[in-house]
Amino acid sequence: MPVPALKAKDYKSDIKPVWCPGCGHFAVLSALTKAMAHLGLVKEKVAVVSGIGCSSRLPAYIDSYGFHGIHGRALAAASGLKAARPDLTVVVAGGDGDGFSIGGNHFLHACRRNMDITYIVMDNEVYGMTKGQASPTTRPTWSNSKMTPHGTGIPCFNPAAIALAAGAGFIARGYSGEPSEMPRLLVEAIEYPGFAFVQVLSGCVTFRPDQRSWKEEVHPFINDVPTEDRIKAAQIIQADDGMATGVIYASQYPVWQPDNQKETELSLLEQEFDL
Amino acid sequence: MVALGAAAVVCGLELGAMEVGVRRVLARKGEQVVETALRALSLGYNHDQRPGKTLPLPGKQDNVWSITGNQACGVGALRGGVRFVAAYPITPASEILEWLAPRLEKLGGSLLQAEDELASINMIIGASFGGIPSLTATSGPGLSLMVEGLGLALVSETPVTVVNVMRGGPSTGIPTKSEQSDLNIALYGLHGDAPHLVFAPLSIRDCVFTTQWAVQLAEHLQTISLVLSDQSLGQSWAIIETPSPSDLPWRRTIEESPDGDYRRYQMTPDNISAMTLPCTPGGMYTADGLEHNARGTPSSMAVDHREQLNKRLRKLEDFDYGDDWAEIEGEGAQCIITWGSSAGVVKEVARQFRQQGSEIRTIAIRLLAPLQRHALSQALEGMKKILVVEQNHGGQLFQYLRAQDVLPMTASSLAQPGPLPLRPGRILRALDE
Repeated sequence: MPVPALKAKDYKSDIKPVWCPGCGHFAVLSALTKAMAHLGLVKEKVAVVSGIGCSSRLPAYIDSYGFHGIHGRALAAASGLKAARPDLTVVVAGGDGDGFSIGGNHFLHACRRNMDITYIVMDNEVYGMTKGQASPTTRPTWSNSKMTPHGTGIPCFNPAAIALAAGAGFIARGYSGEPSEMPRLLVEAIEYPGFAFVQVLSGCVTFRPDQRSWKEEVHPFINDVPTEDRIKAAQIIQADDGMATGVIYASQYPVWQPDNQKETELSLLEQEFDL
Repeated sequence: MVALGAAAVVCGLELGAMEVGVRRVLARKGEQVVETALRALSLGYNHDQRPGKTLPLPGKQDNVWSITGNQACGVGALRGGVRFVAAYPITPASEILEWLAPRLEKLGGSLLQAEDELASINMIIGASFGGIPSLTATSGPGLSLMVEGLGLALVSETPVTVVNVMRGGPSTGIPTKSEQSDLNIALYGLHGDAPHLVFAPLSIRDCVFTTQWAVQLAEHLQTISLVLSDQSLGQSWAIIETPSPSDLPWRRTIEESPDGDYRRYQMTPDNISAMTLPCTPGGMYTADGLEHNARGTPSSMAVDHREQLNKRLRKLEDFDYGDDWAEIEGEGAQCIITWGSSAGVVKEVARQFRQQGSEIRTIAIRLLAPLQRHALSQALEGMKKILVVEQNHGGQLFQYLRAQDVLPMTASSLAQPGPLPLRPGRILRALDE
């Protein structure tokens, strides 16, 4: 008898999210479970890995294997896991501070290493868990944080541009307020053979109530996307206001995975030391 | 060249063989250089005052290896079952990684060169979560960067091993010279109450056993093992008796067919909970650096924190480590306590002592944490004089033993920092003081 297909809700665990009512991350969680159901992923063959922050609490809310690690290091843990266990579908979830500030170096090298990992960054331009400090994607004039009372005065990090420059082969942007579009993006990202980076504009109702206006501000790309052309992708990303959604760039680079067929025994290797 | 010629006599090498070597090395510098060098070589070789005593080469022997300490750590790692390594290059640990990389591949494993040490520790945690015994190797500055990750491995009970090849510290320090000054960070570097395993190999040969033991105990006890080798062990070549293959029984306890109510951090009599690996149906859980309950769900409840703190402590404290925690030799009322590579010079001191007809006991500690306090106190019974010998400035082992209340107030410390090696004469003088 065929096993009945799993529905999105079957991929949710019974742990109640810590997120504030109205948080954009609920929609991302929902979109991810829809994508998993659409792809018919076997739950125990999925590992969701994260660092620290509100969005990084996501692994426990998915009924699969999960690893909730330390701040900024999710991509590193996920890369080790994927290298050791290529049979797993590895999804990394996190926020803008976790991914672009404390974890910035791992972001660069994960793009460049191009392992078959999906990286979802729920970007709300603020540190929510520590109660509202500026993140790398916060606009320089945002002055509501006590830590930066005059605003950061520093230009924002452009995640898509940096992912492209660092060598990512799949770059997309979504908005948590687009419940039909988001699962589609995540399906494409998970199916993509290589490092797939999805920036999700996912508003913080508590510390960035101004982000309610995102609903009016997001728009489709004016250019034809996705492109396979790196130069075009760079132009599109640089010309964009950061609020356009869709898959921007989808190209093919060699996927890195250790090449290791067992061919000998340790006792034979040890003979090299015989005098 | 003159000295080389004289040294060849001491080693029992033939002049003709030396000439071939010199010609090969210097050929590209031109015939004139080669001729001059050969004349100088011959002068040294045929000098009137030939040494009376020579040190003949061992020649072809059975059951010996020619190996460095770093390679020996690599062998121990593989014997312990390590099949994944992620690491960042650093002096003087890189040879462990360079030796392991091609060999891991041939054994079906892999080495990933990470972007930094923060990545390497987290990568091996990820791989170990996937079920593959994993290790990294580094030196002081790299260990400092890894410390937060070590806490994560410890709390999530994901076994990993770090071989720390010590060099002069702190900071960049003296990267190419040896020092035993990372004991404090290895023992106390983690925030929170974080009991774990700390080992130190006692010789180049012992790098094989100690690393294997560390890996397998990390796996069995689902914790972190730190192995404190150092530059003097790691980068020295030695001819050693072939380390006999030791089939240690310690393995990770894997739950392959969990029932409906799997709890990752279930309390058990030995405080070791069976671990499921990804792809096992019914065993799904989220490993976490947050404090958690038995199921793995994050919890800030006092009762869960206390239970898990106890679990992580008791599984280490109640385990029977057997007799391998130290090498204890000799009798008498005087005793030298040492650890790691300083065991070599301490054993030489003991040899000289006994040659003069005196008795001395030496205790070289291999397992530094958890300290085997009871066994150590027993070994110290009846000692009138105790000297703690180590190669660092602060007397880190001495202070540790003091804090653990195993030393009488009369015990004294000989702590000499690198880069100069400890010499037997210095230790003999300290015993007389």
